[in-house]
Amino acid sequence: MSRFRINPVKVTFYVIAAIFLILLPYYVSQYTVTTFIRIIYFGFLSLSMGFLIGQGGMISLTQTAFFGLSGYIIGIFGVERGLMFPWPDLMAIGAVAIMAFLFGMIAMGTHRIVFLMITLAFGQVCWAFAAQNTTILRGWSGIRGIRPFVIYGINFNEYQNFYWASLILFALGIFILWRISKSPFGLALNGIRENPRRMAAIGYPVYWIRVVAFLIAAVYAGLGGILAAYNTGIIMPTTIQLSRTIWVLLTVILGGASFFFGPIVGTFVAVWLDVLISGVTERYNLVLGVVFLIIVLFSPTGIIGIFDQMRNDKKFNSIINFFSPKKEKPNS
Amino acid sequence: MKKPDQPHALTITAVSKNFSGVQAVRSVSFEVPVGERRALIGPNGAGKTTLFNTIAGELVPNEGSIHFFGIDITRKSVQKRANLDLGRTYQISQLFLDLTVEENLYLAGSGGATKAFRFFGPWKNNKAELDWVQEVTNQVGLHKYISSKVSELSHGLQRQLEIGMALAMHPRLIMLDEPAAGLSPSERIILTDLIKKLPRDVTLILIEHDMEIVLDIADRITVMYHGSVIAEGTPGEIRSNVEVKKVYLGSSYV
Repeated sequence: MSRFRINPVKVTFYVIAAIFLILLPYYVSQYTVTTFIRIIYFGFLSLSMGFLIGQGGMISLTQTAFFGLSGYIIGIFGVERGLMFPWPDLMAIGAVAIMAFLFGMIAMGTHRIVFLMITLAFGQVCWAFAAQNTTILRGWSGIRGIRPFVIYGINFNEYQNFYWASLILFALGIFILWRISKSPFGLALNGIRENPRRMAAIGYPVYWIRVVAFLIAAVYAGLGGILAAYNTGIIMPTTIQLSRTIWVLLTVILGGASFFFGPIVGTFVAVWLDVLISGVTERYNLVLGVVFLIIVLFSPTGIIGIFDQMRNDKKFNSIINFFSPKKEKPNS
Repeated sequence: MKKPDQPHALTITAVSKNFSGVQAVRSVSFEVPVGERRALIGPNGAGKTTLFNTIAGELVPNEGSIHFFGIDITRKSVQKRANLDLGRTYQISQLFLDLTVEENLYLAGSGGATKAFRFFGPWKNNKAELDWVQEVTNQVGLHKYISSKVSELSHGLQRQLEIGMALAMHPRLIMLDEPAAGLSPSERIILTDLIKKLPRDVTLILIEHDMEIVLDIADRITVMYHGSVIAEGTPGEIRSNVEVKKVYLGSSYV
């Protein structure tokens, strides 16, 4: 018996969603497409934090620093030194990986609240450095004029092209991270989340597994940072300030930290909420806070948790089962 | 049982451990031959668990040395000892509560310094490892619960899984820390049966307060009191040992 079953309802849903996303620039405004680009780059960041929280039980407040670091590398080497694609981008990912590895070596010996504090401290050091360094990082004003490139005749300054490029990168990123979370490595990370002491006692190098997980997550934050820098054209200290980190943490919990797609759903909702209410009121944080409270109150496992509860609900299940073929029960 | 050229499964030489002045273990020495089932008994505070933790690697002894199949493991980390096939269970279950029985046993069965660094193929496709998990679940009587979450299992079933976790590691030595803690009399019978059915070539060290279980399982018994070993012998010898009676019943009874 094959362990993976194909669920036609799910496949149909994914195909429709993919077609909808690919054709998006043909039937919506530039503003809407740009909003989707925002969802994608914040999605990368949120996925980075959500992977560490959901799979590894590590609440890291450093991810935004990696997001900003890759933006600054793009700014310094792409704009000020004038290097061509793909050099600034590769350097950005390389810098993020090195930084994450070094910092991971320091932080991964700690757990829980100490880990939270040390990652908070590191994030704040990066932010303070960016704000105070005027010679390279240009202080509060940041580095401006970051433009996407023309590669093989495709001009990524056109928002449609940039959107498709981002979408492909995001889909690829999601697929790879999803595979990782189902792999023996992902399972080992889950074990560390549940009980690091037992993991050591059954022979796992707990420390190194955490370091590698941190490295993987940092690269995702870095990819988001590259897209963000190109899309906004500017990188400055406010990009990596603490309120941004908290916002990302909020999107992760809003969507459902224990679900793989939770962070993406959370980002989608939080960004659209921003767009929809910005015409009505400037108190975005207040509205987001209230929405967050209501959702977490009714479903501590976030938005996806609501659907998950529905799936376990008998009445709802009978409707779903009507549309999908009978599932085989695992042999008992 | 022991061939002359084969080292003992476990050799403990003059191990002492103190916690800021309190001498928990005083110069304890003993040997456990390969394949033996050894029980470690003694009243509360005798230093059994401390000694146990120095063998498992969670504590480093102040003095003395511990050899595992001839290898000095006195200062090796918990993980390194596990990689040498030393398996243990805990007095208070240390399971992955949010994972299924299958996932728990899969993790225990595929530990090691490098095996976790496989990033792409789903773990559910590794047939050899899953077959082993199936075999272990049958051995510890959990085949009905293979896809249940551990947090949904009863305490008794969790204790069975504790032993399964150690067994799944392909261990040469299993250390059981009060395996029957908190079990009802009927659950104790199931668990004792399960321990007795463990493969005979695996060496076993057992801490247990329930004397019925100890006398049923153990080939030899080591008795500790106030951090020292006061007696060692077969269950029959220990039963008639005057020192041991004194410790357990008080001197007025002897």
